Amino acid sequence: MTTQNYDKSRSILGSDESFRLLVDSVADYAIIMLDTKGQVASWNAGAEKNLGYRQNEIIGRHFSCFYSSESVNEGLPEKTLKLATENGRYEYEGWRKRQDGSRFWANTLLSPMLDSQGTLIGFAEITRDFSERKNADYARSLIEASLDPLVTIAPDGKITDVNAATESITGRSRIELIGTDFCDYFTDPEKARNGYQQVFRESMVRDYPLELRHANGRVTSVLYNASVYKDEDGAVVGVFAAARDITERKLSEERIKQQSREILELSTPVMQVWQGVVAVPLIGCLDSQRTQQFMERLLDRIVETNSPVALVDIMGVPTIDTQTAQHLIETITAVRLLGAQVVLTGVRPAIAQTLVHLGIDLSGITTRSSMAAGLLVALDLLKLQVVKKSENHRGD
Amino acid sequence: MNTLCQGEMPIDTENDIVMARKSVREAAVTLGFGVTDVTRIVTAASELTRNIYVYAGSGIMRWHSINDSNVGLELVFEDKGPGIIDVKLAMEPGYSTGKGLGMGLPGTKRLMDEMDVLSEIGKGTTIRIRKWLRQ
Repeated sequence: MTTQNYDKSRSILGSDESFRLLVDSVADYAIIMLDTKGQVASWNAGAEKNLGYRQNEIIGRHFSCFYSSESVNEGLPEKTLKLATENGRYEYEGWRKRQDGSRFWANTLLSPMLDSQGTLIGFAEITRDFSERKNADYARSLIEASLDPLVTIAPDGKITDVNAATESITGRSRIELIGTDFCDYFTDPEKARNGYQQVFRESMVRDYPLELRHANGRVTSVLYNASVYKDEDGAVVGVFAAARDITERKLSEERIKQQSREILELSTPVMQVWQGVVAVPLIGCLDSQRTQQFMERLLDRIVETNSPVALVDIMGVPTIDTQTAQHLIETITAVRLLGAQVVLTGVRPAIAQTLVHLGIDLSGITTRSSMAAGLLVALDLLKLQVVKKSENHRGD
Repeated sequence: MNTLCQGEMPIDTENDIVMARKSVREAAVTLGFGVTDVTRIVTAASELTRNIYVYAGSGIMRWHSINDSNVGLELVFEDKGPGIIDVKLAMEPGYSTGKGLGMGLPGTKRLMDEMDVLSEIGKGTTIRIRKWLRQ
């Protein structure tokens, strides 16, 4: 029984008919035979599927009907036949036109067919629809073109793919990176692990800060934005993560911070406003470092000018919290130890209320709302008086 | 009326306290608080961010406007620091484990309309303060 069947099938397999069946069963490829001039001589099911024409509609027509009119004007169909004849084969990719006028991206292999004497009898053309591949290539080229390092990570934390930017920021090739642990390339692997695990848990993370380490040791600060990606059934298969190099941003932030520190540390001038009276207009915030500077300068100037009174103006201090108040009280105490007195001026109503709410006791300190009022207090302490010039003095 | 504002800011350095004050001032002014209330809110934020910096090292300040029947500003200060051993005691004037005046927490409570302190030893502290806008 078996032998009989085998024999039967073998006899079919060896025939031209079987070859016909083979060619026809290949639905994904258009397998076309052209005569020496490029006219269609045979047509398979795959050709009908890809190009639309039925066999009886296309046999005998020139294969240039698969090309756009521009390509035909450029002589592309003839050129491919010439190249195939010269080189023994010719493979190329390009747009091809269907019967209904729509087009698709095709990969074509054109081979000359020779008889036993070596005479050209026609061409075999095998064409495949490469649209999907082209789309994938296009997406890939976008990914590669991205300046942001991109990476995909499997649930076990292994890298499954990277782009060129990731290669350059890590200093390692794609081949080296794929299959290794994502966490290995960061200064803080644990934080990196927490990062991608958070993505698997919460589907996405935004602006996750990490530091990438280059093979040469150089560290780049990045922010990761990542989300999970799913297969056709909606199951999570991995994490897609995009890093943004924030070195520049960090530098400028650092520069701004540096500048604002410099502004904060601008020296506070201690001015002698009268014989025996110095004044300090405080501007900005009073942190411990600045208070220290200001206190030293004030004490020095009090001794230097032998001033019994110091006016400390806080009009330009936006906020006085308990620490600022503490700094002020300490300064005032230090001035008193030198035998001088402080008049606190420029106390704004809002600040006064806040100080009361905070429970800060300034009852032992002379305060005035303005520097002018403070100066009067100072003059009074020095037993001085401001007298309006009499008329007699005019012209002296 | 329907001004929405919110934000957050990490507190890691002393300079961040200055930046926090600035952000809170802007938020309070945007919501329409008067000069005195703005000063109160900013001072409270200054106290609590400084506490984060001094006691916990780092933490985060978040703020958002409240737009229910009452309009107001809520600020939340969160850290993973050592926690406050006795919250009730810490709310008493003059109590301080550091070398501060011991006025920060009780003072902040007086500056604001509402204040909740949640603290767990070894885990951290979350303080929520609110100020309502009086029309």
